[in-house]
Amino acid sequence: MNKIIKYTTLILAVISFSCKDLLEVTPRQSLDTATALSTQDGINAAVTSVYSNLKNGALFGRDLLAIAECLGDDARVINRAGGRFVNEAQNVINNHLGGWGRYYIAINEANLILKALPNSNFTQVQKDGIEGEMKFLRALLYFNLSRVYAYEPKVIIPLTDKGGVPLLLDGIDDPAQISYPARASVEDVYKQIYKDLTDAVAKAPLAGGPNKVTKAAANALFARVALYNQDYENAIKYSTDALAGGVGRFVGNNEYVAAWRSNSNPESIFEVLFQTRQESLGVNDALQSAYTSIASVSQASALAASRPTPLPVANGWGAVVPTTAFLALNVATDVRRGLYQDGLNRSNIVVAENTKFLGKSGVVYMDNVPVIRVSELYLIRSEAYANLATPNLVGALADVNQIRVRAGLAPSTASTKAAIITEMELQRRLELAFEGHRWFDLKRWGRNVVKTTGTVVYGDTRTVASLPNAEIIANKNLVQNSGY
Amino acid sequence: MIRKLLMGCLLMLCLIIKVNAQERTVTGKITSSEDGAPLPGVSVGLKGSTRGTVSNSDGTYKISVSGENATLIFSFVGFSRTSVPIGTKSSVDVTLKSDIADLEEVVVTGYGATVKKKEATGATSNLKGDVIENLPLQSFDRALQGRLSGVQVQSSNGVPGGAVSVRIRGTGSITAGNEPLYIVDGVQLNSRNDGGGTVSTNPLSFLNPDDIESIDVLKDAASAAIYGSQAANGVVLITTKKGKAGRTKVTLNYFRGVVEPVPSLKVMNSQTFINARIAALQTTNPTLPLATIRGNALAGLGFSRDLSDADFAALPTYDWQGEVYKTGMASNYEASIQGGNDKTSFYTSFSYNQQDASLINIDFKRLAGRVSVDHKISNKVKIETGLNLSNISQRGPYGDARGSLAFSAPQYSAPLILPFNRIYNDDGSYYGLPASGITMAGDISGNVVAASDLIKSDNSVNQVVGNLGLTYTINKNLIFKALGGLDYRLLFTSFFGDPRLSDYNAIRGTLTEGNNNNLNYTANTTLNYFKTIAKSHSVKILVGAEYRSEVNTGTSFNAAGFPTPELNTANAAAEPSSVGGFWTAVKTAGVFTNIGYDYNKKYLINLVARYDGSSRFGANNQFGFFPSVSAKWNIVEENFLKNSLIVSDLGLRFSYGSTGNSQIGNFDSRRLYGLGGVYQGFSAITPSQLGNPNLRWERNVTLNLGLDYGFFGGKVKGSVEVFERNSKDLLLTRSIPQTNGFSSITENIGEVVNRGFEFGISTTNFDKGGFRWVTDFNFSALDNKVKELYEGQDVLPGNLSVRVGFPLGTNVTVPFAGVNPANGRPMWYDLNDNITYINRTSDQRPIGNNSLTKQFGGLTNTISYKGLELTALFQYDFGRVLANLQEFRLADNAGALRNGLQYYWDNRWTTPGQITDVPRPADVRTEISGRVSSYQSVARFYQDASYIRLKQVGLSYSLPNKVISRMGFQSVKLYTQAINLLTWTKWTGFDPEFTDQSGNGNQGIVPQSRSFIFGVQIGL
Repeated sequence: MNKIIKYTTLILAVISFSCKDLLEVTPRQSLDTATALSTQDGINAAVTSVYSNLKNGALFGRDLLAIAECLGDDARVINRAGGRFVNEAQNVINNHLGGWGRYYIAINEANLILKALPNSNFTQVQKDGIEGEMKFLRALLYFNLSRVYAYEPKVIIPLTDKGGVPLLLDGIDDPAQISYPARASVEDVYKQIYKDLTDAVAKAPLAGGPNKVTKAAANALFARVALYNQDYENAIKYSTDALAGGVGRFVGNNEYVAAWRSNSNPESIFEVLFQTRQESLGVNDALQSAYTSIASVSQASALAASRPTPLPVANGWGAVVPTTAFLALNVATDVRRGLYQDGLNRSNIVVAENTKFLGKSGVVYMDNVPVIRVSELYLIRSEAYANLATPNLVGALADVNQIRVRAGLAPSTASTKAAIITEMELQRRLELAFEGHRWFDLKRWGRNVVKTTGTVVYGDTRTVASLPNAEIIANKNLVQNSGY
Repeated sequence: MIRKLLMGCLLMLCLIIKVNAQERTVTGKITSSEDGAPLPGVSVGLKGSTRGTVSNSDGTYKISVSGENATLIFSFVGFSRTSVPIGTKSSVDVTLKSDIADLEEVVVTGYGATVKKKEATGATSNLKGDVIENLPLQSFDRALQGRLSGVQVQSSNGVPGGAVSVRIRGTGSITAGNEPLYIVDGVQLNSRNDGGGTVSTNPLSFLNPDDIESIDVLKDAASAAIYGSQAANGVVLITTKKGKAGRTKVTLNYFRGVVEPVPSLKVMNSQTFINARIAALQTTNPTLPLATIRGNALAGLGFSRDLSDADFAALPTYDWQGEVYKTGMASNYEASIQGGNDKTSFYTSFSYNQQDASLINIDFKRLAGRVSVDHKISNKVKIETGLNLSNISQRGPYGDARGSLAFSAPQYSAPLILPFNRIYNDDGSYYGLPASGITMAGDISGNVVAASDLIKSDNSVNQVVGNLGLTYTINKNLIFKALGGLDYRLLFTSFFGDPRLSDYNAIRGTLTEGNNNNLNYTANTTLNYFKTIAKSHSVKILVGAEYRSEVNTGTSFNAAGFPTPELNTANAAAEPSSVGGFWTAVKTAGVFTNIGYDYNKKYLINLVARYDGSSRFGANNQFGFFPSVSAKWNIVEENFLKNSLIVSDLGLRFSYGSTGNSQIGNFDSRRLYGLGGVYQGFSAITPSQLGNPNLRWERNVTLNLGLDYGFFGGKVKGSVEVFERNSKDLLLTRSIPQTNGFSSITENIGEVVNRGFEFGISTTNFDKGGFRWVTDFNFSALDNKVKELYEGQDVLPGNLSVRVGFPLGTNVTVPFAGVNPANGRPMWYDLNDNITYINRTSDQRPIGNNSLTKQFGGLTNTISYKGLELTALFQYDFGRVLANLQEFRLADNAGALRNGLQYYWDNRWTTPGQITDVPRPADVRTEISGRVSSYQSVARFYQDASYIRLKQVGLSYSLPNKVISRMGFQSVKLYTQAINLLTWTKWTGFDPEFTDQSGNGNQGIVPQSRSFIFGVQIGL
């Protein structure tokens, strides 16, 4: 028995020789949350992540453009991407824009940076710059969340309005902070966006665009948000400021197509950058693949010059293509017509495809994505001028003619408010086609989406996306959109 | 030579022994009562002395005895111990009676301890290695299927050496792991499946199943609690073969056979598909004239709009399934040598195993070598070593053998490819490669045969599993043991996407390679104390300590741009695309004890406790305590039964205790920032984990009642168990609202209960004149229920199949209400059971069945006569209801440009008033009005996946001694085996046996195959 005790003691002694140390393991590919944002390197790397989120396929990587086009009335879908996009193009219920979780990941990252910033050892100028960037990005994220999942403030249908989106402004990095927020009203969401953009305009850096946030970008986004809010004075003010911001330039007629062939569009005021090969989303998820079967800029040029037989085999899907009606709006002399050309043979079909995204980075299935560009600001201002309580028809016509003339069309001579607005809407449609605007424009105007596959009446369930079902189950305070 | 050495040793041994004055030699021959064959290796001992010998290969023995009252004792594994008084005789021939009961007597209980089955107080299942010998199965887990009660084994797919799911007493954990702990000769294995690429791998396939001596499964808390924190899902102890003192035996073994595909699915031919396509377009374009629709349909499929009826009728149909599912080969080569003397014994083996899947370009190859040497340094000190080296290489398909929706994956696409697409050009080259300028018609525009042949997807594993143990017998009551175990695995994956294929044409080929290093070592020490007091009271005390560390690292890269397909090493790539790497580690440490007491082997009680710490858990809860108690009443030892002629065994067992589960990520308790994306060329960090400093063990509390029985001298015997296993404080990765910026958090919440009944019976139906018929049957029933989740949540967000009051895996959907006879549209029941055309997520509810097995088991019959043995194993699995997602894809009736099953075309709705459950065809599976794509609901495709299968039939013939001794062999056995011979099921997919590893159900899973082998085993 003595021996048992002796040996047991021995074993226990060996084992308990600092048990805590025995179990000590330090992760090597992660940082402790408590100290991750305590250094400049840490905050800079966290800022990088907020930007990186914008590249996500559900956001600017693809869906905010390609799926929005499917939902709208400029595009039709050919079933040659293994069924992709088909349901969205037919506005089948539950086939819509999404990205809910990714938006809130990015928002939380921005919130955490804003929380860590005051205690960091950056200079005040640097702190202001980062604050401006984060507030712009937070505003951009909430704006897109809101227009995907909720109505716009001035066109709410009270009967089916379930509010805006939950507003989270404090960073969460501890289980004790987990919250179950309800949806804020659309007005409150817009109030917050205004607030953030006001700060962003004041604090964002002047240089660094278009891939990073600048003051010009903040002004530009503010202009668009104000337009969505039918706040025309501010739309005019901020678009004017943005145009004077020095980021992005209005390209001329002769360089218009070339601008869409260069890696970075010179018009971009804010543009999401895809730089290294590994950032390509690949054939299944890339914007280029959604729109065109053509592999590269050089192939597009070669095909435009002569079409060989047999045609080279397609790589991309080229499933989301312009409708014949849309193509007909584009007159032959319009320089923008150069952005549509017959694609390759996929599924024994050859059709005209949009070529704004062609692997311009030099890597197939990888393109920078313009979020706001100069031309849009003229169109925003034109619309705002025309819709002022006292319309400024001269200003409205001048701005829309900037776009028309540059496209190679004669200046419009429209003189009534209605005629100018009609022309502005046409130019908006042609200029910003396949950049994800049309669906949201119809929605903020409170209009039906009329297409051959059936009309989506404004206010129909399908006007807004459904919140993820798992969110509704996980958060009892969250109300699903009407009809889902 | 070896025999001479051995004899020399024995001779020396005899000389050393003090020679008695009246010394004389007794000789004789020992034979088996069963077939009269000589028995080599029988221990022959002289009663009352330490003198002993072992019988020769011809069954003869020679021993020197003294005196006239000497008694010889003959003992041999598998035979009754026999004592023979020899009187003055100098020649004594003995016939030993076989005793099967004896074979099963000992069970392994962990940390090198064994007890007689009769004295085991916990619930265990045991299997001898010879039962699973010579099967064309690459890992032993697969061979356990249907053989042990309470142990449910499901092959995840039909890939040889592929993943297998093993559940001991059901599924207790929702999001932490449910796999048992595997221990080979004391070494805790890393059974995490790290297999990369497109291959389905199995971490247990490193070991040649033919090297296994026995497998013991610890099922209840009492028997498993000694492994404390890792034992919640049961423990599987594998003991490998060891050398035995005596003649050196060489065994050569070889088998070869074929692997056959399951029957292919009956898909539409070219004409039917095009007709279905026209019908689908008609539904969606009701106003267009038929001629236009016909033209549109044909044009969309690459034909001329006005294809003549004659040309249409002449369109050929190509059998894509036949081209990818092909008969493969299986072969196995083995050599083993074993032997030893009284001090040292050894077992060494070398084997090569190869098997194809029934799908082209998938195979498994294993080279394995094993050495095990035991040596007694002195009477007190013994060392045991074992070393297993293996190299496995597996080829995988395109996509993922575990389930893939990749269009170029043959296992997914073969039945979906439009049937008029050619497979080969006239010159034998692949049809439809990009260089030809031709694309195949339909969604699946890549030639899957070309994809399978041209891509190179390889997975290789080099693994070392070794152990070194030391046993020090301090005195007859006290034994000290120390064991060090190593499990080192280097895994290498490589995938080359050939630029000739359309998927890789634009990027001119892609190469992804990765390596994964895992270093896992265990060290433990134990002290065993035994004491019998006053002949009746036996006490056993085990104390021990254990430490385990595991470090897992890896790197990977992807590169693109290869000059030609033949040059496909990394240095040929024009541009590296990405690199990756990881590092993770876990450490555990614990102390444990087992105190056992029994009174006359009649009343037995065991207390087990373990105190364990793991680096995985939160700073506040790193250590856990796992106690258990078990007891047994051997009723058969009571006086009233002791002399019973009927009852040979009767014992009641009770156990209650707790075990732990820690199968979560190594750093799940930490608050972390991990690596994020990239922007402007900079790497980002992102808050990756909320963490939980209070995270602790998932705890299983199991109550077990067991009954061991045996009648008629063991002719009928077995066990019955009932248990309740409560899995509490579940390590649940639960969804939180994504508005928090995180989608989940791991917490100790929720409770799942598994109640079960297990029944095992083994009967010797006939045993006379060398003819023997034995039946083994086992049955297990499980009832699983989620008892609670958290915060009043009765459904787990993100996983509707987990809900309070329902079993795990509950099927949730919007029920199908049939097809409207008036118009052929599919209808659904909303939450209020109203019939609707619109299938809404919010109308989903449990439909009264689930994907868990309710009853399972097996029936084995073994008939032997002389050297002939016939074995048949039926295995069954009842109660799984699963969505047949493969069929869901094949039921489109040309709603998409993919082929489908003839059945759905034949049974589609065509005329008003028709009653059917197949809706009319519609393009993109969508009816126009309502814009609801209800066809896509899986509700129509839930099927009962229960099955009974003739899993294994084996026939072997051991040549008679007369014949083989003339050939100069010790033994010759010819054998043949058939696996998965027949299956009875209602399931209409390829095969009901699979597990959903990819979330895609049975889509793109390489199905089970049928195999037949023939082999010969020769003993030299």
